[in-house]
Amino acid sequence: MDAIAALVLVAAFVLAGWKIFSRPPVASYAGVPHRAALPRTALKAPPNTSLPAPQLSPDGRFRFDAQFVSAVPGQAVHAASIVELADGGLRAVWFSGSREGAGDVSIRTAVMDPATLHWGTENTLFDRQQIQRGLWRHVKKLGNPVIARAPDGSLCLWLVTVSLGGWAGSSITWARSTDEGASWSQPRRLVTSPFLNISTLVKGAPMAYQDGQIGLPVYHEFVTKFAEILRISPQGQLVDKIRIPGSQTSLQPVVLVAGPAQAQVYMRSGNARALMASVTEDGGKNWSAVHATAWPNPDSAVAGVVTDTGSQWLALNPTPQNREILALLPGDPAQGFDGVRPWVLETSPTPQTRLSPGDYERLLSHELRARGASEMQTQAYVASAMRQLCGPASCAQEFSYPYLLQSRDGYLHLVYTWHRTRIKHIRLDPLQPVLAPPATVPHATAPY
Amino acid sequence: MLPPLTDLVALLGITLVLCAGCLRLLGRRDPVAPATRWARWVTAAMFLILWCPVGEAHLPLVAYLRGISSDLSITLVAMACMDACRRLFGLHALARRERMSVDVAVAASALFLYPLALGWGDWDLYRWGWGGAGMWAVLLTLSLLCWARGLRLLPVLVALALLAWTAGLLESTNLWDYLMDPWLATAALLQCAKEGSRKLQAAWRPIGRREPDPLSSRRVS
Repeated sequence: MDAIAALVLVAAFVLAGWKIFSRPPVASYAGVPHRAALPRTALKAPPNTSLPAPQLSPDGRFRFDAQFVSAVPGQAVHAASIVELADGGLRAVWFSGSREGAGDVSIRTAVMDPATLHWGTENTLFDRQQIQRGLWRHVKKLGNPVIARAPDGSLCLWLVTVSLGGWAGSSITWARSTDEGASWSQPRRLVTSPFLNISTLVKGAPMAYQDGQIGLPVYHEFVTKFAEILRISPQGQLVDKIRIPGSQTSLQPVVLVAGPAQAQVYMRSGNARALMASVTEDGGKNWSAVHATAWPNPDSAVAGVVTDTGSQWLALNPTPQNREILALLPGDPAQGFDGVRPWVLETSPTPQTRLSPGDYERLLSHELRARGASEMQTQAYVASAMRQLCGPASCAQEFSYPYLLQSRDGYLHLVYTWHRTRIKHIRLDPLQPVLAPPATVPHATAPY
Repeated sequence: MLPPLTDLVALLGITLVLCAGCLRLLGRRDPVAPATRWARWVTAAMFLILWCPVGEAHLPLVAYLRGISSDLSITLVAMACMDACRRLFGLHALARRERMSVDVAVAASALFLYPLALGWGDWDLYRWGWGGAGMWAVLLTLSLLCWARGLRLLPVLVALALLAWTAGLLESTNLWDYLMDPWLATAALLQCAKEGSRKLQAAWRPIGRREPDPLSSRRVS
C-alpha cells in the first residue's frame, strides 16, 4: 500500500512540476486588443444623408452626435460597454430589468449600422436562465457586462453573476463569440477567489499582452475593496492576477497602456474622495502604491481609452458630490490629467441643487420627446427614472458608468447610463478644433 | 444532457460530501459501527433526490446548492469518500494523528490564505496557486516531512489534489481550490480548537489522573 502511495505522490509532483516549470514567462503589453485583431484598412465613410445631427457641447466648445442605444421603455438599465465590429459597426451590451439586481435582469445588446450610424433593435444576449443552465448552478442576478475583442479576433463578454448575497457576492462569468456576437459559447466562470469565489466584479475594458493573453481589470468588494488585474489565457482561463497596492477603498480600475512596459490605472474612489491612480513601469508585474489625483470622484465609475495617436482620454463625473456632470478629460502619458480642461458632455441645468420631481419630469420628458419617443414611451422612461432617482422632495440627475472606445475611423465612442433609464451613445472626433473656453467657467472645470 | 466535465466533477463532489454527511449524521450514536440498512437507503434516496431536475432552469437540486456552497476541494471530497467507505464497507478508521496532521495543515493555511485573499494587505497568497514554484516546493517539503514521520494521509491528499489540478478537473485553475475550501477550513479550525482545548484541559489535570494521549496510537479500530 505504501509503495502505491509513494508512486502516486511521485507522479503527482512530477506532473505538477512539469506544468509549473513549463509556464511561459510573463509578456509585456501589446495595447488595445481590437486594434491588433481587426484589419487596419480604411473604412468607407458613411453617406452624409440620415446621419445623426451633430450638436454643440453644453459649453459650446466642440461638437458631437448623440443617440439613445436602449429602446425598451420602463426598464432600469445600467453598465453599458461597446466593441467595434469587423464591418465598422458597433455592438453595445448593458443590463436591463425591472430594477438593478432583480431576477428579470438580462444582458441586452444592440448593433449600430456603420452606414447610417443608427442603432438597431435591442435583443437579449443572456438571461438568468441561460446563464444558470450554462453554469450548472443557481444564479440570482446578473450585471456589468463588458464586451471586447480578444487578440485572436473573437469577441469576449465578461459579466457579473451573483449566486449568494448582494453585489459583494459576485463572480465573473464569460462567453466567447466567433461570429461578431451573433451567437455565443456556453458561459463559463472565472474562479478568482478562494473564499467561495465571491466578490470579484468587472467594469473596465481589457488590454492585451504580446503573447495573446488578456489583462482584465477587476475589483473586489467583500470585507474590503481593492483593485486587481486578471491575466487570462487566449483560451479564456485565468492564469494569474495582481493586486494594485494600496487600493483599499478604490474600485473599478481602468488601465491605460502607454507602452510595452508602461501603463497607468485610474480608479473610482469608494469613499468619494478623488480619482485614484497607480502606474507600472514593468508591464504590470509591479504597480506603484495608489495615490489620489487632482480630480474629484463622487464614488462613480471611470472609463478610459488610449487613441491611435497615443493620447489618453478619461470619461468621468468630475465633481465631488454627484453624477450630474459627465465629461471627457484629454491627457497624455507624460502629463497625466491634472490641470487639463474637461470636455463637458452632459450637465444638469442646476448642478449644485437637486431638481423638484416636477421639474425633473419636465426636463426628461423634453429630451425624450425631442429624440423621438412617443408620449407613452416618454411616460414609461420618466417613471423608471423617477422610481430610481427621486425622493419625496427632489431628484438626482445621473449620467454615469461611462465606457470609452476609439473606432478605426478615429472617432471616440462613449456609452453611459442616462438617468438609469436609457443607455446613451456619444460619438465625437477627438482631433476636432476646440473653441476657446466660455466666459463663465462651468462648475466641472474647477479642479479638486 | 450531461454537464461539462468540470461541472460534473463539482456536482458529484457536492453530492458525495452531502451523502457522507448524511451517513455520519444517521450513524452518530455509534460512530464505529457500519451504517445500518436504513441509513444506506436514506443516503441512496438523498443521492437520487439531489440529481432530480427542478426549477425554471431545470437543473438538478445539487446545482442550486452549488450556488451556495461553491465547488468543494478534492481534499474534502476525498476525506468524505473515505468516511463514507468506512461506514458502508466497514473499513478501519484513520488514525487520529493522520486526521490531525491534515486538520493542522489546513487550519494553518486558512489562517493566512483567506484574510490575505480578502484584502488584508497588498500581498495575496492565493496567487501562488496559479503555478507558483514556491507552493510546489512547500507542498513537496510538507509531504516528505509527513511521510518521514509515518503519516500517509496528508501526502496522499496532496497528491490527489495535484493530479486533479494537473488534469484541470475543477472549474478553478488555482491549486488552492483543489487543496482546500472554506468548509474544510472551518471544520479543520474547529477540530484544532477542540483538540487544543482537550490538551489544555489534560495539561491542567493532576498528573495521576491524566489520560493517555490518543495521538500516540497510530490506528484505532
